[in-house]
Amino acid sequence: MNNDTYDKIIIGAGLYGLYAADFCGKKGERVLVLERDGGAFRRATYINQARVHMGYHYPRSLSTAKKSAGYFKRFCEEYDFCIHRDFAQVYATSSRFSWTDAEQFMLFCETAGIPCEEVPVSRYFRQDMCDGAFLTREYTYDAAELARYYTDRIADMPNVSIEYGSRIEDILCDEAHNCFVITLAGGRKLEGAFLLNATYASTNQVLNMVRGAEHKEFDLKYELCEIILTEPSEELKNVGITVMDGPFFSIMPFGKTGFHSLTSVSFTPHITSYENTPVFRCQERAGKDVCSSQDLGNCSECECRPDSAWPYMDHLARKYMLPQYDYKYVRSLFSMKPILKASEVDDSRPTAIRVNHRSPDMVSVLSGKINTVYDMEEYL
Amino acid sequence: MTDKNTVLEKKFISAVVYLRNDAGRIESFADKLTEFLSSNFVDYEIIFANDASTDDSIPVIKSLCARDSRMRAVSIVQMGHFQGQESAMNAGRDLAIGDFVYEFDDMLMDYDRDLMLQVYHKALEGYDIVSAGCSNAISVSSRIFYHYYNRLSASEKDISSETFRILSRRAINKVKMIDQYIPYRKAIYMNCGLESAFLTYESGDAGLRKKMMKGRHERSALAVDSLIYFTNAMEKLSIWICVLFAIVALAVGADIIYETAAFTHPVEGWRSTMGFLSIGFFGVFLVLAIILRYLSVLVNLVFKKTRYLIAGIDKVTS
Repeated sequence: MNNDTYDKIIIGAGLYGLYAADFCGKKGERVLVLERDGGAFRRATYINQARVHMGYHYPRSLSTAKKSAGYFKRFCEEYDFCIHRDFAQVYATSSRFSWTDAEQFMLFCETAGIPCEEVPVSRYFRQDMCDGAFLTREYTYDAAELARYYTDRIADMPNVSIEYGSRIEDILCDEAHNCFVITLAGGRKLEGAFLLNATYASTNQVLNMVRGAEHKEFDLKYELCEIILTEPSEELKNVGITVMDGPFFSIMPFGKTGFHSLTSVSFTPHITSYENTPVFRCQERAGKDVCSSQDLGNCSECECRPDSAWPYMDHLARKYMLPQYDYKYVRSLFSMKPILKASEVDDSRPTAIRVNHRSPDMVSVLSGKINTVYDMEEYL
Repeated sequence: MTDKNTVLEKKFISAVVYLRNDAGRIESFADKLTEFLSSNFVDYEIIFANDASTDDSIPVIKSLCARDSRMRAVSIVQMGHFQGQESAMNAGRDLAIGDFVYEFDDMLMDYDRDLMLQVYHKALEGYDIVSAGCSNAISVSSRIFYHYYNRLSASEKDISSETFRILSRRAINKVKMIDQYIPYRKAIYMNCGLESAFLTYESGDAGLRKKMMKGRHERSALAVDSLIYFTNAMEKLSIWICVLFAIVALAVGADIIYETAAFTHPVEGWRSTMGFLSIGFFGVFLVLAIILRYLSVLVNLVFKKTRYLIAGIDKVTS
């Protein structure tokens, strides 16, 4: 067997990629993970609210909510070491501009079978800003610890390896030899009978690179998103606050880092691209080597990332919360978020897994939530 | 253009602009407004309260945003159907997140751009509500309305015809504590107990300003409503009418008693008929007076419940 021949080649060292590598490695398969960045979990797995979803977020999509609740327990058990649970997670419904009011939210929680206990609005919010506040059960995970867990496990498996800083130049579907041939920058060629595309925002870019096979892109749009890390006051330290369901905000513990992440529906997305691959004006400034519509760079490490929307998110949060729930700016993180166009109306976030090709096999996975990672097992 | 030497104010400013079929005026207004905001403030947002415009106002705004990078953080509150300036502006103000919120009731900028800054500086002096209104283009009907309103309302502060104003976050919070629904902003602002100031200017286009005021039919209905909500004018008027009729009924009753005492002999049955009518009507007017009192209480209850209906919020630029 050639040294550069693998049972499975996985593109993307995010949670989905490493989960699959670990899963297949345990079966004794020879697995290679290709990652563009210099380390694992540098993009969406790290740069998000770090919320382990229980389903509260989707009062307009019961199916998403129920599924989240189902996976919640399993995820919390298996990844207990990286989960931070000792804080009060408060959900509130805004008095104005919300698509859901307190009554509907309670009814929704009951239907979805997720815990929700009403607490006085005045404990957290300024007068007349929210019509209901609820203590819920939701946790946050620490991406750094999760990354360490997986990289340690993979380091112990001689049959699994990760190559960081690898740039793919070409993917050829060779049906005659039942394999994919991947050419890296520099000319090295890799072969694999199974290709997993777990690149999230680059899913369509990878699909477009495949020659010799019919494939269908995901119907996507892209948002360049900013998450602000803040240092919480003593009062806010053990509290997470999410105001729903519309143009509002969320401030909650960010894993075990001691920071709180601050995000808002209207100010977190900076720029939107409606193309099927991420096309942004900042790519021209960054240069082809750093980022392009065919090969997305890491927005958080990019010099051409947008200015922070801190003043906006800050003012929005302060408009709602009582002044003792104070926080200070630490830094901003940026990441690209692909959104399935079909899920916009009900605001659902389905985990899309698509078999792009059979013999050789190619599977693409696209999910905005960490706890649906188990969905992948049947495809591996 | 932003002068690099001027120090920009650190306060976050929101500008809420009423929009109702103003496609022709948006460009010049938005241009002056963004010029003013970007050359004086670091952070600002612009919110258009679109009261169900039927012309191409929205595409005009979107193309302006695409063209002008100073049009930062532009949102449009889309009212579900035409609901009038007060509701639309309430919705826009509720969305605003600024430390100070400008309310522009229309897009006719017949004042000097410096006036916007003067209003802001006045607010910094400690006035939570600072309004600007023109002195030379108030129609006769407006004058009459404000005269009677100010005489009859319980508030000590007078209101007048205003073009735009600035509110502090404190004023907005205070107003929300008083009441959830705000049928007439000016009046509520003046009643909220915080310091207010009024600046006047000479309209550069008095003719057009007057015409615009007249064009708004819903304003006259609002005027009547405002008199009902904020003054006891209507209540007084109806009670007086009741009392008048009650007096007439009593007078007829007195006449019957007089005639009985004087032993005059009118037509058979006249006395009993008129006696019944006068007692009956007196009772009716008495009951009406009581009902009117109840109604005035109900008005107070009802306007705590009614709100505005919005169709959605469009984030145009961030």
